Amino acid sequence: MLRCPAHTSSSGEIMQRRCTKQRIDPSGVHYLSCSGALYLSLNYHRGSGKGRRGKSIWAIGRDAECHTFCEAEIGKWSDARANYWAVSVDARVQLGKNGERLAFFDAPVNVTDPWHGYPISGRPGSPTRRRPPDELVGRWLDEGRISYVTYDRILTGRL
Amino acid sequence: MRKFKTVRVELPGDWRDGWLYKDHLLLWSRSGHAYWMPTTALVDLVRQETNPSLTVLTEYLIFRNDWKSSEQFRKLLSVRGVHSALLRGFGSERSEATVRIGGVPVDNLPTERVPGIALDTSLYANRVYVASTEGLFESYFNPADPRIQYPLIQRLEVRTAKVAARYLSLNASTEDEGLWFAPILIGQGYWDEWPPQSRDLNMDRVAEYSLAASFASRHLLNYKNSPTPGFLRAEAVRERAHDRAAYDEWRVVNYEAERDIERLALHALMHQDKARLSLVEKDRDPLPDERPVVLGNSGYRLLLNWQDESHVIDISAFQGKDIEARPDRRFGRAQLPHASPEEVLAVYPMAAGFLVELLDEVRLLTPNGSYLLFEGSAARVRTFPHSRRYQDVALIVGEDGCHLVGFLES
Repeated sequence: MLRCPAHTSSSGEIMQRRCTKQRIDPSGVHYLSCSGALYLSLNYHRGSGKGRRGKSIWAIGRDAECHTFCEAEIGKWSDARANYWAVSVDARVQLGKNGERLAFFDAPVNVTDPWHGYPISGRPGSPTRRRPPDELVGRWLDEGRISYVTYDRILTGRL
Repeated sequence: MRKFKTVRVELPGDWRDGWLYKDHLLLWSRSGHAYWMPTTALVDLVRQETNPSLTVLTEYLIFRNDWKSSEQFRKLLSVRGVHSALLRGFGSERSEATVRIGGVPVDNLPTERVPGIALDTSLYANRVYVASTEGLFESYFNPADPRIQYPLIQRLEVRTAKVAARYLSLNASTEDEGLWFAPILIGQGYWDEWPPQSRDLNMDRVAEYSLAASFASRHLLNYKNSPTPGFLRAEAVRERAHDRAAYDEWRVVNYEAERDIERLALHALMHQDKARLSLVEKDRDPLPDERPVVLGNSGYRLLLNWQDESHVIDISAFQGKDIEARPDRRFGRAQLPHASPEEVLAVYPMAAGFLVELLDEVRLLTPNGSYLLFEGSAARVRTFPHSRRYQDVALIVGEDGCHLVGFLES
């Protein structure tokens, strides 16, 4: 069991949440996230399994991957299409093997589908280039998640 | 490797961006307001803060690179004792001398605030181009009297990530919306008359996708999601830019369709010889798994990573000739440190070589070695390789201030 980040609710109550490993199947490792959502750590974003070519590869462990998803859920770091985005504190953790320091979590098409995600970068030349919405990057800055330098680097596609 | 000394002038403040233009420093605050100050006033502040030898060195290395690159300066340095007298401010071990300016006495630049978040800025031919989340905006900076207010004109209405202006051409990268180009018109009422006239400037889309564009001589390198940028060959004419111009200059009038140069770069690297695009395009062999990654360019020089090594190749498209690439002999492979694509955040052009932005430092890569130019994280890095005074100066905006950095490689 992985301890998810402490989260302060609107009433100021500190909540500890858990990310729980459920089962393993040929596609990857299934988790129950902090909020109870299904999360699948896919093998093909781990450098194994079918269809891994051209995919970005996590540089962090599977539990930490689910933890990153939890942080995005708790922080409500979503875009207009309900996808989640994540960044570690001031982007200090390298999340992907190609130097990616951001993560993207595709919103499931069906409610019964699990979430999944992968590391991304906004840099030119990156095969999985994606850029979080400007408003969300602004929120990360306002919430103290990232410094001004990191904010500007994300906005200008250097991270 | 040669001896390397840097001089850094630190201007505290919450800055977003900055630019050295003619004899002015322009700064933008994080709230989007623009400020200016003459560099002569900045030199006076440096003089108040430090000793005479460091003041002289700061002038040469930061504010007058044309003096630094002169034959007179080279001859002066060859006189016994001059070099050590100039470097007196460093002490025996230090490689950096810092001048901290307590308060920066800047004046407001009377221009409208650009809507959205400013992502990129370029000053060229007294025009101020700002790429923002709300579009591309143009205004005017009058170096003779910066207090004059000029209107702000919107050129594009989509999020504009980067802007590149040179050779009387304006180029804007708007990601999915493409790469846009327009000629820059001088005279005929375009900003140069009072009251300034807002003329329509139609921009043409010259590529379908663009994250950034950078000049390689008169041509453009279009950075995208691919490991190698596209190449847009410029159609250019040499003419007087306006009635009062004293000499001819190149004007880009159009670009040919974007060309893929990945195979060209690969041929130049594999054979360590000149490669021609028309010949390598006939090659139908599949590309190897390990493809070159262009980290950035400094003019026609491309800095690449291939087979876990750094390389520099030169790209050219001379009039009447094919697009060609060849290994750069000055930047010999043995001298280049490893610069992996995972670590490099961005590459900027400098007259001396490449400025390489890493997570916690900025390094300068010259034909003689790799040097630490700035220790710290950079929000913005500006270089001015085509200016007369600042061709080897870096303006770096950090978390708590703006830094002007010059260097002496001896």
